[in-house]
Amino acid sequence: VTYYKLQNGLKVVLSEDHSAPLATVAVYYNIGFRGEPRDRAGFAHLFEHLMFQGSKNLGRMEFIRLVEGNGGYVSGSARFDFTHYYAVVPAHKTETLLWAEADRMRGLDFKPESLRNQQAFVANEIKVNVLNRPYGSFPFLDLPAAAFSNWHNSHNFYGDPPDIESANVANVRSFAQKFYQPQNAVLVVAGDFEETEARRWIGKYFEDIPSQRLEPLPDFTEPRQDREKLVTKNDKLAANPAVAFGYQMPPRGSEDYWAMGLLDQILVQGDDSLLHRELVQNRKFAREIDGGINAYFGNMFNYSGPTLFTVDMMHDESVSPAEILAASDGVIERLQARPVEQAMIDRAIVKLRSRLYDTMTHYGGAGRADLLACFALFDDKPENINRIEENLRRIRPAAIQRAAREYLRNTNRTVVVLKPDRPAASVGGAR
Amino acid sequence: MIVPAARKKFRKGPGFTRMFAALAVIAASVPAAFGQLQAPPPGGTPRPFVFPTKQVYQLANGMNVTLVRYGSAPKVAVKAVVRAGALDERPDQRWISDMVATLLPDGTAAMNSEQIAREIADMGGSLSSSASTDKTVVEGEVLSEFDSRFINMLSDVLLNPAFDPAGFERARANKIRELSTTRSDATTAAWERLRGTIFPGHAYGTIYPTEALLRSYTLQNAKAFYYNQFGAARTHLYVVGQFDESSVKKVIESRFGRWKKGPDPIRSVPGLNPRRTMEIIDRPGAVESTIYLGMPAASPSDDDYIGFTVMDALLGGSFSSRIASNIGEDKAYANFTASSIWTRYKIGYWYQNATVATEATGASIREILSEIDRLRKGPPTVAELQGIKDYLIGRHVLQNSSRTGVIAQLENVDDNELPSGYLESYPSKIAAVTPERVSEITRKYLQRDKMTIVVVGDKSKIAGQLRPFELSSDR
Repeated sequence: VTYYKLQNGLKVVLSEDHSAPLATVAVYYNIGFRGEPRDRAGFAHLFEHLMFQGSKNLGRMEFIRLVEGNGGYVSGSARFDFTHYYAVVPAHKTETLLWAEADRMRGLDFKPESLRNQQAFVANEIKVNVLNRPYGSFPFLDLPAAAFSNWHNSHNFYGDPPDIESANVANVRSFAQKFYQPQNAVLVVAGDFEETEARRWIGKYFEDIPSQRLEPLPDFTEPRQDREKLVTKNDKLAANPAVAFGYQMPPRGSEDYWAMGLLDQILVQGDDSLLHRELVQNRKFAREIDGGINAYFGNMFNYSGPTLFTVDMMHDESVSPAEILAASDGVIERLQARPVEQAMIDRAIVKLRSRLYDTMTHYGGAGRADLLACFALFDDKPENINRIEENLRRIRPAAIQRAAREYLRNTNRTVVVLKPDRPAASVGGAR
Repeated sequence: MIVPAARKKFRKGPGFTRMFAALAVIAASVPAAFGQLQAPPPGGTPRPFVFPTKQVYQLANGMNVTLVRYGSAPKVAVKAVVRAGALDERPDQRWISDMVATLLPDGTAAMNSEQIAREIADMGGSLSSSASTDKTVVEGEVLSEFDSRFINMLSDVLLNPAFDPAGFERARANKIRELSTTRSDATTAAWERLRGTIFPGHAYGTIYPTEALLRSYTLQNAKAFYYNQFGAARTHLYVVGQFDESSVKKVIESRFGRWKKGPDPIRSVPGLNPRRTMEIIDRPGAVESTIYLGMPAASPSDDDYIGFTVMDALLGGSFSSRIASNIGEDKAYANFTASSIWTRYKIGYWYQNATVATEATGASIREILSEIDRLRKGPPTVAELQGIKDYLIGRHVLQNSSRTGVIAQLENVDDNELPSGYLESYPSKIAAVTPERVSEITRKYLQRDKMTIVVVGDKSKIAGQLRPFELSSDR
């Protein structure tokens, strides 16, 4: 891994891999839902849309054409702690993509009509994807809203209609100047390229993008949770009841954090996991369970602020959420009562390591680019990607027990119960 | 490209990424018209596409094996494909193959489900199984250091299933739940109706059983399906990634070599029912309409297929395609639009799928039809076609850049009995398609009198809009 910074503060990470003729070009801006100003709920998401509406030299949607027209894959999305843009392209188009990312970092072409268009689009997106869809906000919007008390962590990040409506060219431009600048970003190139050539292109296209002083991030901290929270919601469109529960995570990078990484593997990941065995196999409450650390937005590495370790499932109507929680508690209490065996830790590490290789190799390295970007953005140390296993190996059974006691406390838990609220008719209605 | 058969879970947050496809098609295309614009640097010359070397051989009992050393990560993907699926089911036992697929990793003579799950976890592995129209697959990926141990376990799962009665009850309950959740989805309902309409009376035409049918299945039915339909002669094992070749070959021979030969694979090519029809599935209160509009296409082994692929990408199958630009970007009717070719052995069916605003349902279909007509009437420009070719050739490289992607490509070649060298020559064949050929293929295949339209939406609001398309000839 090569890591350096340009004069304007842009962080650059280069990671070569010549196993396929592909390259990933990714730019991560250190602004996500969490960092949105209070009167700008949904701006991180809105802005993600605007980034495809045209820049200095590219018209609307031309960025996408540039990538897809070459058979590549392009994506942009807003998350809690960053908004990222990446493209996987045939390797010979690496320079083209670097130029295009630099072009939009230099500035967008803010037109009132494209802003209006995207405001309407986001409003419609919320209508279609959240309001008119079964399980629309469950649980990725519902859980953080219920669990956190700091506005930055709990607000409606998908887009608060009044705030989205209030967007105008002036406040969108000031948002861009503040957050979409070299000081607040990392550029990652991963895949089939030559380092000296990439450095030359990066210098040529990014070096002279002006930057401005960064303001410190707001306070994102959460008080220690000391009572269980419960939210019940009715869903007119859902076919089956569902329940989700989340525990506030320890600070990222702490010993407890790595212990929770192993507890995630032990409790929810894979069919051998303890909660899967208990809730799916033994009790038959659900067909499957899902969850993890930062599960709805990525993985345990690509976030930075207060986050949840969650478990969710659609369950049988014959069982109540209380029974599910009681069964889950039974499993967790055993982990709190005594240290786990080393074999269980070893298995958890093997599972995590195997999954990490998948993340890092699929699609020309977009997954590796994601980890490198986050370690550069949050820790200023992209090389931390190579320390994951050693951090996990340091965790002893006693540390796991301690983390289970402090973080898998019921009083550190938030539960969202979803009840189908349908008129008597059965689902389907296909005739 | 793939019709979601089941959206089995709630949408996840990273759906923001997926929504991108929707966001991409909505904006109007306004040419950037300010000052002197810089053009993007064109980039270098494409690196030659090289498909990794493969080893193909057959065991004495007829089982096929393909080994491919690929990639830099210490992992290996293993997939057993058994040619037993819906085609082999009795019509009153739809999804019995799905039941068998669910039961396979649930226990063997030697290991119960918990032991299997733990064994997989100990190897950093994954294991899944599923059944589809033509085949049942058992597949997984594992850390390379456990390559042989994993193949050994996979053979046990495939050859010695326990068929535990409790596991059967659990699987059936889960399938019943899956059925109700899946069918509530508008896309699924439309797709089910389309398949039923074009393949009447054939296994391809019945995607789902009824709940009553599912409830009637017994463990005995599942066992009978397995013992009558599974065997070495119907199986192809793919191993792709980093692995130790000699020990992997040894374990394949020792474990799979003693499997019974079993029945030969069957081929059942249904006649298509290309009758002009339009059907509405009523969803009162729906805020959008889901449209499927399809016609028979070239099949993968047909000489026209490469040309058809290019035509599809240009017409509706890519982001820059004409239909996406029209009803997505320009008119902003659609939240989602894509065309695809559904293929099976000697079967091809082209369809355009779109999710559009309720009030634009009729107008969207009109635009789709006008784009088909435009391509029938005249060839695309060389520049437009070149963009589509670059897209398809680049996508081919991406599709061949993961272990599972490589397996999918090999499987496609084997399933459709494509000539050797197909994957290697694909880019040059795409490059050779001419503008006139695209237009010719459109004329040959996309004929309105063979068109089936299915729309899911609020009937009270869309029936009037759809009336012009109900007639069997509206030219």
